[in-house]
Amino acid sequence: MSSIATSVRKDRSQEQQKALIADYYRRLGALAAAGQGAPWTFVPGNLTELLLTFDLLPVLPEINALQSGMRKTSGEQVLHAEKLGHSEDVCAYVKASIGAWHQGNVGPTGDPLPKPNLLLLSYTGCFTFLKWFELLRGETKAPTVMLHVPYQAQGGITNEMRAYVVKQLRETVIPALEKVSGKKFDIDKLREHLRLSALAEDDLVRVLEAGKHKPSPIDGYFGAVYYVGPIFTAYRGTQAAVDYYRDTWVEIEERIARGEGPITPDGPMGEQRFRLVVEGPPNWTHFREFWHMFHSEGAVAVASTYTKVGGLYDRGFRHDPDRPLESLAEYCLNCYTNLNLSSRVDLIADYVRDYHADGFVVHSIKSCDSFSAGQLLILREVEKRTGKPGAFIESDLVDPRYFSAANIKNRVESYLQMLGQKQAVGGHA
Amino acid sequence: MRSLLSDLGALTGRRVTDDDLRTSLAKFNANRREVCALYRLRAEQPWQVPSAELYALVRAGNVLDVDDHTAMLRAYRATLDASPRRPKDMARVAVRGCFCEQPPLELIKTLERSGCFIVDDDWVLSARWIDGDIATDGDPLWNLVLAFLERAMPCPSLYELRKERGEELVDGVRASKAEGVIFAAPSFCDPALLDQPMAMACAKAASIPATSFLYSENTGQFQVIREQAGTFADSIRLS
Repeated sequence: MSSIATSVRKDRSQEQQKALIADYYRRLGALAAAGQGAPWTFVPGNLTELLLTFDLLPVLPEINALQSGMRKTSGEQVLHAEKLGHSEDVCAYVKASIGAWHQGNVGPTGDPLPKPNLLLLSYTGCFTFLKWFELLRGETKAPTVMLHVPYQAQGGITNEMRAYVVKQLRETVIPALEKVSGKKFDIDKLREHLRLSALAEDDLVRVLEAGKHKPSPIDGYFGAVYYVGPIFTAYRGTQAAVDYYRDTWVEIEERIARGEGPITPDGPMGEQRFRLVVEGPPNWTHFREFWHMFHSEGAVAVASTYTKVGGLYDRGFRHDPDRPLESLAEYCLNCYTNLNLSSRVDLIADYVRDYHADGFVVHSIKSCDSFSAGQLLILREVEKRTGKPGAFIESDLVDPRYFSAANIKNRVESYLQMLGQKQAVGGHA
Repeated sequence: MRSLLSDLGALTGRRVTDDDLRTSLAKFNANRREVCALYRLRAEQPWQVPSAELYALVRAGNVLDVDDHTAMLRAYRATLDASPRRPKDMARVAVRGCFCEQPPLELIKTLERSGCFIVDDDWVLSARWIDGDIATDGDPLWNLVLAFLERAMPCPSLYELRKERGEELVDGVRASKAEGVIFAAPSFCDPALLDQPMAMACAKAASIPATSFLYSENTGQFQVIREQAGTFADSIRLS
């Protein structure tokens, strides 16, 4: 196995992404410096276009937590929250966010964060979101608005579900945003943001579906978290996102033409021996080390579910300027976190088939009960349906105490060896 | 609700009418009244209604026919009236955190043996989920929906918009005249564990003594819990 390089290699799109994220935090810092607030909300079910219509820039606590994880500062935040009485067993994102608030409300880049002028609780299947914003409401005393998105328990969206969400947007969310911003709702402005969203979403889908090529020009899990960064944060519905995804697609097309694989932090990926689908969010505190365990063994992720938590665009959904509120409602209803287990199994099994994967990996999150419940069932069911072997590994999001490198490496290597033996016997895994 | 009713009808082969629903609402109203009466009696005279007995009795309602269960509750009440128990000097506590995963009976006995009268708890909440009766006239499904939306008990798994988290705990402590709170949350129960810091802060602000521990449904070792609860009870009685 190769060692981890001391310097990090990035491709063009990753550099652009880094600049966009840095600029996002700079703008939040400027708001904080000016004593202005901002709405805080979540990535799944985010209403970025609607917020932009009111010239509001969202703060996304889970993005702050994961960025802190990548910068190795989340551990202190988690410990701080535990000292305040938060349990070891609960979501580490929540504790990182509470810890960061108590440590001065400074963002991962060192820029101060604006205080919440509204907690926009878009509830899309992750139960912890409810408690998270109850906790933040207690800490910050900010007003809270809840958008209740019905769970897709039956595996679909009914007209009643859509109408219920639209009604809340009209009667609760928009008036709250008008109050916070002091601006009247302009539906034409919203339509323009939605038009830009759809353009960016088209190119994002092209980028993510490039994983169907052999060799795959992208890593659809580790590498793709960079690709989804801008659209998961405050850039959906902006020209900057349209430009970013257009440029990224051009970069990927060039790579396809040259028959090249993804750029990993340790350099261009060599031979792709194993094509994998991955379920579950990555570990952020040891992100590079985690990725290295796969790419150094010739394993590339061709698709993942985590890159869809901000929207299932590859299943056909697009924001629609002709149906502005209805399409925002459908976006929320369609979030990956809002799907039942059966739909999640369908999605993963489809990915295994459509991306010609040799196997799939479930990365289960110790402190994420909401998302991890049922993953063993998912593993068995996807194996049964596809005939491809699955692996189950566990660590955490941003709590560094739960990343046991030796154990995870051992399990990943054993799994890949097993895939290798299957290939040797049967021609492919 | 109508979809659920239709699905249940398809599953059982029985179409449920509005009158069937009204009859059922009335039966559960009667059952809930009996359950709540026993809870009130326990808060007033906890030596009369040991929590281990009350818990087993109320939990039995999850598997018994509602009429049979109501009759059982009434019979228990009659037994208490016929043979009063002697009052004891123990600390009055409210227990929180067990609303979903139910505690083992031995855990409750342990708390009582450690010197605690449990005068308020959040066990088997479904038996008293709705505050008061549900109307039996008009549209029964609508009545049920209104009751769930507007008169459901505060619970960590329900988003709380009307009050700050923890206020309902303080209200419950005041109403039951509890002298302290024990947070006994099951491991890995997100709603209870995420709720706890807010409830603890409220208890502290209201000068209500509180302590906490974790348990799991299959917990078999209670000595540590007994020592902790016993120390807590002593601290209340000696303060």
